[in-house]
Formats: sequence, structure tokens, C-alpha cells
Amino acid sequence: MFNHRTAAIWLVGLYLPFSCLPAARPALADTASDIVTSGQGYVTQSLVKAGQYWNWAVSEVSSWMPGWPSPAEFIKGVGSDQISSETDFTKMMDIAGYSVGEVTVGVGIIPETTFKFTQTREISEYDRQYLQRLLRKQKQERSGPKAMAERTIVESVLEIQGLKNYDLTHIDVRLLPLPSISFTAEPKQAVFDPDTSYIVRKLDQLNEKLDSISKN
Amino acid sequence: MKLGGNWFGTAVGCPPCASRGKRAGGGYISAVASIAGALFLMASTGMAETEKPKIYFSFDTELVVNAITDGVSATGYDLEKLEPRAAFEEFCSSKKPSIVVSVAEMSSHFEDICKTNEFGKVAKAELGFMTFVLVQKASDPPMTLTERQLYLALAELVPGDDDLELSAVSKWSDVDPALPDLPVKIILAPQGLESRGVFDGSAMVAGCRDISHIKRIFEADDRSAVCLKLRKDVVVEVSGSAAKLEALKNSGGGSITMLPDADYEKNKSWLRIIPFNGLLPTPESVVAEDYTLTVPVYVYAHTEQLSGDTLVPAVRSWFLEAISERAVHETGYLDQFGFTSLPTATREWQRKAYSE
Repeated sequence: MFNHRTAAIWLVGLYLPFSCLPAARPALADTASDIVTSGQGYVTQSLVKAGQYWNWAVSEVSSWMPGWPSPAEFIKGVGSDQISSETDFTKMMDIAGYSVGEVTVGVGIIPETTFKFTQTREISEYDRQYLQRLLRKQKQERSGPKAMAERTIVESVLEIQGLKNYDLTHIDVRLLPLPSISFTAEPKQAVFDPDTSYIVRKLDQLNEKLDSISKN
Repeated sequence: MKLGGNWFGTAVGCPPCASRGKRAGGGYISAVASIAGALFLMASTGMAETEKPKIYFSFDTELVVNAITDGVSATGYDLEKLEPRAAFEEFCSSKKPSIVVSVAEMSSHFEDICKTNEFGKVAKAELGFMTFVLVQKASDPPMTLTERQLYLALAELVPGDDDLELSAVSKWSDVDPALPDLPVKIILAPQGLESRGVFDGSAMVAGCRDISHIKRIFEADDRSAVCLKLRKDVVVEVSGSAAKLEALKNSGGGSITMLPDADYEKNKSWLRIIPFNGLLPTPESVVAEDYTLTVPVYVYAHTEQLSGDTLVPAVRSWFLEAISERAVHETGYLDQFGFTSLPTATREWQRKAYSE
């Protein structure tokens, strides 16, 4: 049965907030700055691409909204600890190196539901190949907007993880009030100002000293 | 069988029996005459060596690429081995006529780069799956293996009570009492060569992926290294199916190896397939990607080089040969490499889409 309220929610919710936050990791050479600067355009392009994926998926499915899952169905799928198939969304995200780290549920006039996926490990080339196999399998096994949305998210994650100089550390899948997805990509080598670099170097030296003391 | 020749003395026809060596020296025209003819033609027409279409291919697909090249009647091709990502980079950054044969799909990132460089759309065809099988001697007790059992039997480090510890496995039955009480031994291609990548990914890494001790390792390289470190006393590394079969023949009971499906077919009188994760490599299980000792093979070309004003005949010929029935049919010449075909409807759809 066509649900006008759900349809309206999904139709309106076509936005994609992104944030690129610098990570607190030291970089000592100017080359790191170059890498980050040159990679910035690349990451922006890929993040925008991911946004296009999502918008495309939502606009595609909005034309046949009756099949679009209700947020409750989505929550059930994403939030479930029980994995019934290797092509389940949670399982695929797990292979990609992400697990649900936080669930935000707000009850009120405007309800809110967000799943925060946190990176638990880097994806290896073997994991990437396996994930691509699972995506192909899922395409064969499951059709419909929910499966397509899941594939879209996982494909976007794979795409962004292909970036050499950035780590995709968080993925927020927001279901209510408006569906959206946001990625947090952190530069693998952030550049610090001279003062911060000095502190980092001092900390490194201190740690080395402590290490040598503990060995003796 | 198709017969023909070209300026480079290529003997095309009977692709299965046309080896690379034969191609270089055989044909209707003698090798010397053909090379001289080719040089004369190139000099007189000003045709540069660089105008030959490039075919970038990943190592796993070398035999497939050679067989298809043997099957094409067009002029010569420059074949170059490259990892999929590097191949796509070259493909999308040069205006030179080129084709990519890859075991990985092109990501939309590279599709965008191709478009940005005004190459237009990218034509993609899936040829099928290179399929491998685990085999044992038919005289040994039948066994069936899972990815987890293979990992536990072969890995140097296995999960202990608190952490990973050195493996103490010596017999298959140590891993699972249902397996034969015979010593563990496996004959594999050296790491990074032939089908070893498929074994490493689909058996070893797949077998250790869900082990909690290993899941805790954040760095991808460190995790893979733990999964792929095999015990030296149970692994024999040799190259090529013939050498693997010879080694298996001379090994004691309990030895196994991995071969292209076609090599098993040729030696099935004394070999037995070991079901992997409970599955045999049937066309259905391979195409559904349930059987995982496989690699998909994709071919990419620039659409504008396949047709229209900017058509490059040699690129078109190669691409159409790759998706032709004589290549990818169940009994096509790629079958000799243990190739599993796609369903008839898919193959037909691809041919129609690109031959018009």
C-alpha cells in the first residue's frame, strides 16, 4: 500500500552533508602538504560523486515509491545483530571495515534516527575483491529500492576508500527526519603549524625515551 | 576453424592450438619474409609501431588474452601486463587505441576520468569466470574442505585461547575429525603468480576473516600477512599445472593442489575434485558466485573506437572476438583454460549490443 507520508519523507530528503576533518596525526615534510593539497580535489570529487550516487538512487526509487522501505524496515535491517546472509547490509559494511558504533533515536514531533558506522579496520585488497563479489551476488539475488540503496552506500564507501591519502573514518546513515548519508574523511597525513609540529616531535622523543627506559 | 594470415605472419585459426611461439614463427609467409614485409609496409606507409592497439591485462588473464589475440585476424597488438588500477589509469589517460582485460570492474571514478578526457563512454563486456578446483588423488579417501578448514590446516598462526599461536596441526584430522587421518600437504603456485591470488583470497583470507583475533588487527597489510603466512612444512610451491600434477603424483596420501578446471578434466582418470565450502564448480554455482574459487574476466574499450567515425578496426575486431561464441561458448576455445561461460542470454545480449 502506498504510504504518502513515507513517500514525502523520502522525496524531500535529498541532501548529503560531508565533512573533511583533519586528523591529529603528524606530518613532518612539505611533501605531505602537497599530497594533501593535491588530494583535496580528488576527495572532493569522490565525495561529490558519492552524493550523486545517493541522490540518483533516491530519485530513481522515488518514481516507484511503493517499494521503498519504511524507516522501520531499514532500521530492522541495519540495526539487527543477526546476519542472515553474507549479502546483508551490516555484513557488507563489516567487510568494508565498519561497524555500528552509535544509534541515535529521538522521539518527538520530529523523530530522529541515525546510525553511525565507525571504522574498525582498514580494508585490504582481498576484502575489496570479496566485497565486489558480494555486491554482484546481491544484485543477482535482490532487487528493489532497499537493496539498491544498500549497494549504493557500499559502492560509495568502496569508491572513497580507494583514495590514497584519506581515511573514511565515519559514515552516518540518517533515516529520520530526512534520509541522508554523510561521510567523514580524514587526511592520512595532516600538516601542522610549526608550534604543533614542535609539540608532536617532543612527544615522539618523550615516547622514545620512555620506550628505551622500559626496555632497560 | 578460421584460417588466415596477415602482414606479421600471424597464423590465425585453431586458436586453442596456436601458441604464442607458433604465432611468432608460423603462418603462410615465412617468418623472415613476414617481418621484412611488415617493416617495408610500416616504412612505406609511415605507420608507427605505437599505432598498434594496446591491450592491458592483469596477470591472471594472460592465457585468455593470448588465445583471443590468436583468434583475431586484424593486425598486431601490443600486449602489456598491468594491475587493474594501473591499466584503467593508462586506458583513460591516453588517446591511443586500447583495450583493458581485467579481473576487477572499472570503478565509476575511472569512468569519469575517461569522460573528462573526452573519450566518451566506456564499453564493457563480461566474458565469464576463470574457474579453479581443489583436487586430490582419486586413490585417497574423499574429502571436502571449507575455507576455514584450509586456513586452520595451512596457516602458521592459528587462533588460540587468548591470542594467535603457532599451529600444531600435522594431519587433516587434527582440523576436523571428519577429515582423513593423513598428513596435510598442498601444492601451490608461488605467491603472486598464476592462480595463487585466487587461493589466497578465496581460501586463506576468507578462512580467517571472521576470526576475532584477526579482526582486531586494524592495518590491512598486517591482517593479510597473518592470514597468508603458510607453514613451510606443508606447502610445496611450483609453477604451472604440469609441475603441480607431477608433484601431486609423487606426493604421499593427503596431498592436494589447485588447478584450472580444464586441467582437472584432462586428468580426471586419477584425480578427484574436493568440494569447496560444500560446492562443486557447476555453471550455476559459478555464475551465482556461490562457488568462490573463480575470477571474473571483464573487457573494456572506448565506445567511440568500436563504431562510428572514430572506429579503430583492430580494437573492434579484438573486442568482438572476445565476446564471440567461438571464444566464450561453453565449448569455445577459452574453455581450455577452465573458463565458465555466462548464460546464453547474457552472451547474446552482449554480442547484439556491440556488433550493431
